[in-house]
Amino acid sequence: MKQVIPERKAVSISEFFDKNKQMLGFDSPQKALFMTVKEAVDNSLDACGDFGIMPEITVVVENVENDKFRVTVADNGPGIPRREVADSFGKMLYGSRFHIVRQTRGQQGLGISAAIMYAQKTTGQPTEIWTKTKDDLTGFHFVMEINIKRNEPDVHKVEPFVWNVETGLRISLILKGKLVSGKQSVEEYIRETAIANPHATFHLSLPDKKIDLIRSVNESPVIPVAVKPHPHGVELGELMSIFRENEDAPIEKVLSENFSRVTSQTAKEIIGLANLKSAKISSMTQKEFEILWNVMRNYQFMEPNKECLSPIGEEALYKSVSNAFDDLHPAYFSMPVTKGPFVFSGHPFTIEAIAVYGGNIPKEEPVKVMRFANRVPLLYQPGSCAITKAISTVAWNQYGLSQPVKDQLPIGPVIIVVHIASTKIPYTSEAKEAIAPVPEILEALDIVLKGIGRQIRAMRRKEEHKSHIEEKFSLIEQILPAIGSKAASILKLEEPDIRPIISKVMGVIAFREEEGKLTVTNFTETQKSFAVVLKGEREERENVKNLRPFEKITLRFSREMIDSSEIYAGLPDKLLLGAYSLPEVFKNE
Amino acid sequence: MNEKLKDLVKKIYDEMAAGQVPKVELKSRNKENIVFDNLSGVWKYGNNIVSRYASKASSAKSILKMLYIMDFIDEMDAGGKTSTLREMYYISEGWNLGKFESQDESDLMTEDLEVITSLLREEMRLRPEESGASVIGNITLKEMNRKGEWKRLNCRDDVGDAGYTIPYNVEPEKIQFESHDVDFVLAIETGGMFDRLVENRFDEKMRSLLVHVKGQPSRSTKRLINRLNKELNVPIVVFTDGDPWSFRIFASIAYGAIKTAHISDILATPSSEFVGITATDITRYDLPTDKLSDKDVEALNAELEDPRFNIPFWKGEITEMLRLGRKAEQQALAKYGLDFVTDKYLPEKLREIGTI
Repeated sequence: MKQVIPERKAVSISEFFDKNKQMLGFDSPQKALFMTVKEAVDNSLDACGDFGIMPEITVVVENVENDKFRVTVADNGPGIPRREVADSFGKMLYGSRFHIVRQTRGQQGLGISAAIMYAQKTTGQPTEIWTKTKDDLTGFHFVMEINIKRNEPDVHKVEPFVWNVETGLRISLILKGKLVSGKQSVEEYIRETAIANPHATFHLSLPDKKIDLIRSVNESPVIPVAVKPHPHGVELGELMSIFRENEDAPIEKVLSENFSRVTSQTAKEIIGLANLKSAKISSMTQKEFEILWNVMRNYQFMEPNKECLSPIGEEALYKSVSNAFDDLHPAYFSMPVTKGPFVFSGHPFTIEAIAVYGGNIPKEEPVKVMRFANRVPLLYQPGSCAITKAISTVAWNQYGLSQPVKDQLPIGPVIIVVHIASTKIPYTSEAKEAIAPVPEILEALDIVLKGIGRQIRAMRRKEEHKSHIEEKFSLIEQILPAIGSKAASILKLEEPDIRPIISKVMGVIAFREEEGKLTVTNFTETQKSFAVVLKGEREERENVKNLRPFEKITLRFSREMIDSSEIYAGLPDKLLLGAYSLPEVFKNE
Repeated sequence: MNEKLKDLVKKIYDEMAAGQVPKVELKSRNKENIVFDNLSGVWKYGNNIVSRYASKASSAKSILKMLYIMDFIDEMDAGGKTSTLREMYYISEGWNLGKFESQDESDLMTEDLEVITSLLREEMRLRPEESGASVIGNITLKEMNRKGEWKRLNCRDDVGDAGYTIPYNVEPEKIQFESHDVDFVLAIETGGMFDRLVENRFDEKMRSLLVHVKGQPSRSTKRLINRLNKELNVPIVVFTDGDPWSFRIFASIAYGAIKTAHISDILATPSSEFVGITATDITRYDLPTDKLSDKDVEALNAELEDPRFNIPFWKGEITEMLRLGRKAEQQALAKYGLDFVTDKYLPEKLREIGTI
């Protein structure tokens, strides 16, 4: 009997992996290749993030033979100390950082070990790792496998080598896979990862192409701090075990020291509400724990600390998205909409979103949705994801997009990017492919998406007006001058002065968007002063004083503001081109 | 530069120089502005004027395009060249903002220029590319050839079985009639019927001039018929299929078309007679027929509203065709043999309308 138990245990780990391939995302050759790249890249980004390093990551996918691929991922991160390499990669580590409440990408160890195991199972090839830390003069080259029976690393060899980088880690695996393009491909994953990590540079080399995605932001994101759990996030059992670990301490102290947002004052109030003023932990009954837990759940604490989150940030997101979609020549970018922190079950989360409109984005197809959780793109299971569900349930008709089927994605030339950052993302499965439709998250998404929707409506209206405005300008800037010069050349006379004609034809104050700037020209015959108000997610105002006939000025507004706002001016509608008359209600603001 | 064109350019230039929004004005060219001119017996444009002001981008563009056309005409004038409408359409590729979207647009604008300046497009050195009609019969005419010499020929003796093909320009500076010995002109819609009459020597037997109009007749074909009628004083008889579209061929020869109502005086021949195939012929000669299509019925109903058909003869024929629900081709007469049309049908019908 005694001999059988370890044997059985060893088999069960291998079986665990086999049976849970799907759970871990390794259920098909296409997905296995994708997951291998994803796990390695996620680790690289997390490692760089921990040390405040601006990541530069190189991903190479080579076709070794038929369905065998070599995946190599190299970073400029801190590297892993020589002594820790074997355990870091060679053991399935479960929840090593479980008790730390902080936003991270990966499960720290499980994913990449699964990839190593998958590679060795499908091709029999060991994994190679090169590492160099700042404390070492040389790098070290490891060739290793995972001993599945013992759940232990099996290092074939380690040798020092000279690596001309300061620090870094490179991992190379040979696995059975299938390389696809388009949706759910390695390329798409890297492209989207670059969007969510604008401080990182990526070099991707595929058998048929090379792609360089250079960082658009030069500051590394703030490293999220670790905080104590928020009282709303604790389960009854966890509460009881925390209390039992501190049986001798006063309840007030246990509460204020183990939870965030609980001051001794709040702790007293809670104790009062739970009728525990004279209670001692050692003598607390199950019933009393339940009452306490319920009081805590219903008590209005300050919202969880936001510093444990690492949102992309409005400026970085805007830069990143405008950089990534530049080749589609979009007509407009929305302003990023950021809301939060919100809370579900005591876990703080923020949502960031931005929309890209027009240009070469297909007009007759459903809007493209890019989903991100803690800066990781989600490419699979869109249908069961909270983000897709929230977008589908917005009534898009009121924002100018058609939605032929209720509760499905609307149709239009739009890309919507949504990022949720949280200390705990409630995934629908271990493979972390979709965010569960938790009511608090759906509600928060709805608020953010309405902000995006209002901007899309403004963009659509602007697009409709744009052709009219451009037609007017083409009339006065091109066609009328051409008529004048053609007639003059036929008659061999001097070209007529067409300015009086222009003011007759226009007779308006004309607003025009030119290369991200908003210009205003006075085509009337008198001097004009008026306020200009841009109203979108924000409201900005500029006063124009004494604009002379035929004078053109450039207003100060930023491109983000111009793209995503309706333009109003303090003049009657009949005197305006490219702007609406300022409604009475904003006039005196 | 042609004075009339120059006047138009000058008007545009002067308006601009005076600080006015330039415009062009022309008679409205739609169905609502077609009126019957009692004096000439043809349909012409009425007095509705449309003004195209350059305050709208589309109108301004059309003014610019007109200027380009006029400049191009001036250029051709200087080089002694002419151009087809299609060539001009392609040449406009280099006219920047003056480039035409389609040949329809450039053709329409050429007609606009005709309406405005009352010049013919031929006078503006622009010509269609479609070929004119074929003619067979005892008429002698002379044509100015490329060498600048008058070439004389008889349209019966000096031509093959396909006849004399008339050029796009049939104005007197190009074609002059010398002598003839015919009693009437028979304008025939289809090539098959034209060839039948030629083979049966109908031109000789009935002392007639056969003109193959090739479906909806071109401007030069109508102009030739108009000149034959006016200058030689010979009656014009039109012989087509018996369907709504063929009725329109007759109307176009006799009364003019909406598109060319500005030149109805020189294109239309209001004294033309229609010999057949009429709706009543279908019953009278018991002709093989086809069922009217929905489009045919629609066209017949539109003709009932068309002012050009607003006379008892046509009202009767159109109503009769609608009642029968049938149409018949010219060549359906072959039911009674190849000679029936020349020996029986045409002599009988021509006698009835008084041509012979």
